[in-house]
Amino acid sequence: MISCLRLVRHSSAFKTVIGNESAMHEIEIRLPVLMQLNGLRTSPFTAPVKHAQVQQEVMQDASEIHNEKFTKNVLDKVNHQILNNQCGRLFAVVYFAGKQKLVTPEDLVMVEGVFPPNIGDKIRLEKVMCVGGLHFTLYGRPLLSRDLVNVEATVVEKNLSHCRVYFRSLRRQNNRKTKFSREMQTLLRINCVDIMHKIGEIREVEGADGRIF
Amino acid sequence: MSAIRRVQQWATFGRMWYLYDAKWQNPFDSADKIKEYISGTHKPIYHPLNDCGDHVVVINSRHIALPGMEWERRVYFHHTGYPGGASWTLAWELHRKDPTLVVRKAVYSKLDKNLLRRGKMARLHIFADDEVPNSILENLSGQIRQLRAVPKRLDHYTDEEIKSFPRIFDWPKDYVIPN
Amino acid sequence: MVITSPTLFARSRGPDRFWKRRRILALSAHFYGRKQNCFRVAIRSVHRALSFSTKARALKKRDMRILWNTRINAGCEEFGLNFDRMKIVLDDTGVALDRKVLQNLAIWEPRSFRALAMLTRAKEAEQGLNSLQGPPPGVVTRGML
Repeated sequence: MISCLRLVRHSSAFKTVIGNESAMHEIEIRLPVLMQLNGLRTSPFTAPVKHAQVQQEVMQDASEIHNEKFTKNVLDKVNHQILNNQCGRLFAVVYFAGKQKLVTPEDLVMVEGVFPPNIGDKIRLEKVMCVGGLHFTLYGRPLLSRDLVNVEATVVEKNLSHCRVYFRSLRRQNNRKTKFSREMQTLLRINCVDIMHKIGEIREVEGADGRIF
Repeated sequence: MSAIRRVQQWATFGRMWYLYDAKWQNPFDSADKIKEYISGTHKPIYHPLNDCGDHVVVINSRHIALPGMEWERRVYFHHTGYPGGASWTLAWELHRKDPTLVVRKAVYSKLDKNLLRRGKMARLHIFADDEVPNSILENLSGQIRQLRAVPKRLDHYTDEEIKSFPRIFDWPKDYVIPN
Repeated sequence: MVITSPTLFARSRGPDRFWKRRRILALSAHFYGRKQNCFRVAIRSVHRALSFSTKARALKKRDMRILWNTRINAGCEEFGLNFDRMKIVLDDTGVALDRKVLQNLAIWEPRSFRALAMLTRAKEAEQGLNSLQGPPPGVVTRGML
């Protein structure tokens, strides 16, 4: 806006409009005020900006090529380990019964609270957040694909916990409350943690369709 | 337990010895840092009941820098237990009596107030100057970074360093700097 | 106090003063001094102990959370980070591991934890935060995180 005003001031059009020199001087003194006023308005004439035409050229980013190679290299190494069973004993972070648990095969995991499966039931823990082996770890955002990781568990034992006493009393107030509660506890044995297929490739059939976790 | 696992166990729970140079450092801010090392909260295996703290060797405690007016204003209180046995010592007086005490008291007051405090303090070794006995020197295996770099005065620089120091502009040759 | 046989217990039904006191004294069996056997003293300390244990169930959750934070921070500091910074990046990228799992990784899976720390550094560098040293090597985000 200010630059516009300056343009006008020095142009010949300004002289023809205002006429004499003294009037011009007076206006110059008032200029700061004018500038503020002008700053509030949209200038009626703005010189159109002409951009020079630039020939665009597509450049190949060297770091991108390097990154692609690097990524492919890493994926190949991981896939090689998966295919040849060199991952070692896998661990997985599974989300079930409202909690996250880090499990490995042959673990005993306790679930507190209501858990419908009965003793001897085999269940598959589908919400896997993270799986890792000897030389790599895969993190889901937040979950890994349902087809990728297979975590199976067997219900070993269902029992009630020891009796928890909820006791509250206020001294000299004749206020005392005692409650007893025993929570249901379920013991799971983790049978296996397996990675089912190679990573970094798009599967023909995805089992997770229509599932919202 | 296999041999490798056993060595891993030793390596995990072995005590490190860290060196900390207190020259020109604020002892009260340094105490926050030292506290982490002697109580073990700088390790992921930390648990309040597992004894995983490291040793810290503080040198140059004579040359600590207290902020602001602390040398004159900070007062250390002591009571002998007898009537009229109270005494108040200014920081500069205490520092003159024993140049390690300001650091020691700073760390001691920053630690949690429980039965583990004395044991943790036993892992803190403070020396007034940079002369450390050899029995301690040979244990050192790490160093704690100073909170801020020791400032360097102009007269500590060599003439060459001053001449080659980058300048924004040169004074005119006939310019007289007014005093 | 000798525990008599279950048949005796079954025979003496009803609100008997002796058995009422037995219930309290069974809870104070491991206490020290007169709190163990004298009912008048025992009942007070049993009430105290029970209310403490009720409150402690909530406190334990809080204490564990503090401990986990301390441990994760210790793990982060090895890589010049802190947990606040890491948590922001993990939330942004959708890695929803909680503190209990993260501290477990920091202790038992240091290399997996290191990956998360490097991810944090790379993501921060992408956003132009704390990135005077530039992004760490070996992290390819392809702008998709």
